[in-house]
Amino acid sequence: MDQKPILRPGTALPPLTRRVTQDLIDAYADVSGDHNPIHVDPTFAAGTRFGRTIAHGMLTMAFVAQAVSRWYWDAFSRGGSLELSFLAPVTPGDEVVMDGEIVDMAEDGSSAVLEVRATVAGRTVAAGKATLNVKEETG
Amino acid sequence: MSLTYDQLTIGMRFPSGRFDVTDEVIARYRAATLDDVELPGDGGNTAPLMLAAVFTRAATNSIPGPRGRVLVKQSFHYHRPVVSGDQLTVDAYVEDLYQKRGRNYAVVRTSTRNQHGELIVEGLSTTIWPPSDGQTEN
Repeated sequence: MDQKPILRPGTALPPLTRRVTQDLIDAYADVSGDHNPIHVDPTFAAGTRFGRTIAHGMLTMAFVAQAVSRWYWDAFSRGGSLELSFLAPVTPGDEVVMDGEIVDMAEDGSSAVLEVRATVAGRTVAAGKATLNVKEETG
Repeated sequence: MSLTYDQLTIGMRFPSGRFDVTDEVIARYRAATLDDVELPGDGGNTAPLMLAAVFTRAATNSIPGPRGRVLVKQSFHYHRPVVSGDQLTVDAYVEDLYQKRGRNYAVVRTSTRNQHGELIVEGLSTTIWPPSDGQTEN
């Protein structure tokens, strides 16, 4: 686990990078049971507004959750939350970078709100917020 | 049976789903999400939080929907971690339906409890559904 910083507004979430491939999308489809053809069928996907297959939003969300989990696991997993809007597609070959920062803290330091986002080549593909129940953090 | 958007109603409940968490499930999920995060006290049997995206489908996928649905927003509120051996029960219902810019949106709320009846995670998903005539929205 990374050294935990003192949380205050402006504290940055250490970035995390993940590369998406069609093989990874297919593996996620298998493990999740979500074989929506928009993810796994290039012929079907070519006829949609995306023009090609796109990664599951939940795969991008998994990456964001990893970035937060490796930082403040107890505070995130016990009373924390994650909310994301999916703003643009992630497609095979994309390198996705997850980052964020603390934007609000409870006065007593018991909770924190992070703005989080996922970007591809500087373009935001997903954005939202995570909350940490800091009083649960034991590490 | 496959649902169309026109068949959804606010308050409609999906059949409860069951999901058994195993070491294999966790390992496969971690591999499929490139998850190399070491969790405190983790002997490999603690599930990544976003496994919730898989087990909540035990309820929401109990009645298949049409091809081409697109997730636009998702939230999870985590109450306690999931570990191997947990037997989860997932309940889900349609919280809202609305149209925006000619697209059909469905909002589904889920709640998951473990074998002790403890609340594990609550979820809220917003999905665009294709038109009920079966055409792909594009």
